[in-house]
Amino acid sequence: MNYNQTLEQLENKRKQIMKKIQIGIGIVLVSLLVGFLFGDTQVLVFAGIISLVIAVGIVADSVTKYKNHFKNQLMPLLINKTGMNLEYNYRDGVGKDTVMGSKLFKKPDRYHCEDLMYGTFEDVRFMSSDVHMQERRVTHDSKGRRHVHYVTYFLGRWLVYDFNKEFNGIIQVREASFLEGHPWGLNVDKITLEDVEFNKKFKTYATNQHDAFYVLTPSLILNMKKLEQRFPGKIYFSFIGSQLHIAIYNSKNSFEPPIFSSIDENFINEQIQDVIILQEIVKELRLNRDIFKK
Amino acid sequence: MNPGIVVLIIVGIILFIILVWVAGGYNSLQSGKIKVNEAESGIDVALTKRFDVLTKMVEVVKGYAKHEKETLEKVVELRNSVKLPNASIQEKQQIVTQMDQAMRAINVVVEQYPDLKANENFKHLQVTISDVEEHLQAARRVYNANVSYYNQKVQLFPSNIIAGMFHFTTREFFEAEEFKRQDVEMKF
Repeated sequence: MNYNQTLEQLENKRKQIMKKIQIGIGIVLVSLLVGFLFGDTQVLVFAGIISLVIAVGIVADSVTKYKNHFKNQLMPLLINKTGMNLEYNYRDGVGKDTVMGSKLFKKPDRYHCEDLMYGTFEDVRFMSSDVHMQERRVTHDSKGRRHVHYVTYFLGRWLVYDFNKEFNGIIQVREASFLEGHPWGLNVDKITLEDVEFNKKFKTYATNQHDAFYVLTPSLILNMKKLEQRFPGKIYFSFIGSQLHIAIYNSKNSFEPPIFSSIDENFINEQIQDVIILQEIVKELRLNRDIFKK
Repeated sequence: MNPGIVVLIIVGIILFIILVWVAGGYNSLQSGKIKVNEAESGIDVALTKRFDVLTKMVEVVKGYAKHEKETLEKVVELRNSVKLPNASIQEKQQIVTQMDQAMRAINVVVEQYPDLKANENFKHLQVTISDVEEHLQAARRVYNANVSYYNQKVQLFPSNIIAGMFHFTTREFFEAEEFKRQDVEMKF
């Protein structure tokens, strides 16, 4: 199936969703009207809830099919357009153990990942996916009832690259914020680098001062600052065990098609850019320098 | 209470505060000095490694080098004569400059003899020297960062009072212009 046909199919599916949304709204409104005519608050609430469940049921299934169609059919075509040697599996993601291996965040109570992309660029292996991590919180109300809810502490893209320098320990570079404290449970020191602007933007922690200066060269520092400007939200870097983890907390779910508007050129270009960035990072951070691989 | 005792207590408290402040300031300066010394030994380690690899490279290149022979031999001589831990920062800077010259001479030879470029042993040494250069640059930056922090303590008020009392003096930076702001890029 070619690109234009796929776009056409997606647009048809999207229009069907819009119709179903209208039908859903109609069902809810009619139910509320009926409930209102009966004049009973209980009937009104009951009719409202039942109709809402039905409406969501009608729409949800179509939305899932539409999204899956986008990821199954259009995304491979977009990846082809980039010319990158890349595998894509939207049902999979960067594993929890790998993410935890970065030691950037605490262990989540709920972990979800999707849109896995992996490949090799100039001998540098990489992978990326959306990651959502949540923490379980229990609260008690005034009547002593227990309420459990989940709070998101990371939602965004997670990228893992081969790193070309060998060193022991860990180096973390975390975008500075008011709430950002010393990394919990890590035996690291705060490192002050010679770049004042970098030190204002990021907090650097390492097990060893020499390793931090060895890995964070002046050009890498410069390119990390540029990378930070490219991504809205917070960015975190972890250099550990021959790997570089880049966590972009932008509260965004990547590669999701729009529902209330058509897939246009702007959207397509955005998706392509989100794919191309994977190999641009290799070049920008000069991860392809193989002079250190023994 | 007897006014004399009150005065004594106040004087005692003031003396105690001064003592704590002096002790804290002294410890801070001393730990800064230790960090500078540690960083300097980091430079020594990196320089020794660079010497070792460079000597090996000279051994490989020696047979090919005609015009650059003198420069290369100087490095080997330097390696045998210099005792790094005893050398001053200025002397270490001079050593780096001489090593840079030797490195440039090796580059010239390698450009002239393509078969040298293809030599597996030499290729391995290229990889090693690049890594050693990165470590040397890191050691230099660590040293300068620590010297900067320590010198500020020695020169700025009020810690300069304690520095003066205990004869802490500023330390010299390790300047190497061409390595200052750029990454190490070995060209062969």
